[in-house]
Amino acid sequence: MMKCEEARSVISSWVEGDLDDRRYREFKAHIGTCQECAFKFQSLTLLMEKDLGKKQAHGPENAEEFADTVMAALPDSKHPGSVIRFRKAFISPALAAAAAAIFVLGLGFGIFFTKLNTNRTTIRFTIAVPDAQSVHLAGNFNRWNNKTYELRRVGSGDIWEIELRLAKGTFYVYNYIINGETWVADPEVPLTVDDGFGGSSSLLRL
Amino acid sequence: MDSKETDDEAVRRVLAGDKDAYRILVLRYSPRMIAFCRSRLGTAGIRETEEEAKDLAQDVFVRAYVSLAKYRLGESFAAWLFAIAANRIKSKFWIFQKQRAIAESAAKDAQDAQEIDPSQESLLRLQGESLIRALTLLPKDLRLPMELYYLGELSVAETASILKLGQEAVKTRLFRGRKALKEIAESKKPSGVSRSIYR
Repeated sequence: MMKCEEARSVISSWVEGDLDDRRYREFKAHIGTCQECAFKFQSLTLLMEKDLGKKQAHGPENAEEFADTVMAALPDSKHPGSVIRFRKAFISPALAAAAAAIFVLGLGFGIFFTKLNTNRTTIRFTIAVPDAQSVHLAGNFNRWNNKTYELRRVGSGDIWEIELRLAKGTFYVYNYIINGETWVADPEVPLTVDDGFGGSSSLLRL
Repeated sequence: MDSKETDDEAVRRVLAGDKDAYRILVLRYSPRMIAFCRSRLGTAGIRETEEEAKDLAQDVFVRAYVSLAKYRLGESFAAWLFAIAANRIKSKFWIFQKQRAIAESAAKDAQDAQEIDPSQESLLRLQGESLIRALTLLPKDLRLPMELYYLGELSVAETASILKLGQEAVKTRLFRGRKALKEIAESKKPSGVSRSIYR
């Protein structure tokens, strides 16, 4: 039976990139019986197994279920790669004018907080966009899905809004999507982050 | 990587319009992508790492899908995918920086509590969390190589290409990372404080 001293030398061999399967099995047997060594070194076995080329145990994730969620979140485009371009190219001249208008007309709108009485709160996202056909909201709260949250037009004007219940104590990153294709940051929210596509997303901390 | 050819085949099919072929890649890489994201977020001090890790992994797969045309066939798909993840998490990092200080002290408290009576929880269940806590104590330049190589299960070459380092430099960092983890592990005492000098 391996002693604690030997177990430590197995760890040293691993550090040096010099671990073999037989000693690793003895080591595993040792930490199965020695609580102190298990306490210290158990977590390193994950890494040692990678070095020995063993298939890793990754916990209870249901890979099929996760894949279902990912597949459902993929954009509809038949040709991936085309999807990214509108975000990079960003905006047409007509939409540029609209976007400029957003910055002006956005004044006084933006986000309203209500019902701040629980650990979730209702946030009203409001934006003024002249001549829009549709406005959607996508962010880390809906896994950047560009279809699930559609804003409704207030009256017959240029103002669009949607209310969401969001958890407090966390950060939200989001964009508005004008007419299903132009992603813009919230003109009312000064904090933005790089969206990874050459544009920016708004950052909201609740 | 045994699946090199099939990675590229799947990519070709997706690019040809067969969206469902992407599922093959998601199934193949999601366990380690989630493990990698969990560790990255965990070492950044994010609470709720389980849900966050899955959200983030999903975000990475969606982003990889929309930029799939940029992947160069013949190169390592895993390296390309994890490069997206590493970049993505980098920009998320600063968002969570404020949470980090809080979570780190909470992690320390949890660690101290655990050290008083390790038998209360199954060691196996704590294994992953314990590893992430130890990785949190590593210097930054060692953390990402360790996470890419060990949790992302990438090769040294793939890790090197993501980090834009030479393979020898990656090997050196992995060695230093293992050495530091060993010292952290050995310094763990049932009742003592094991805050280390690695910060």
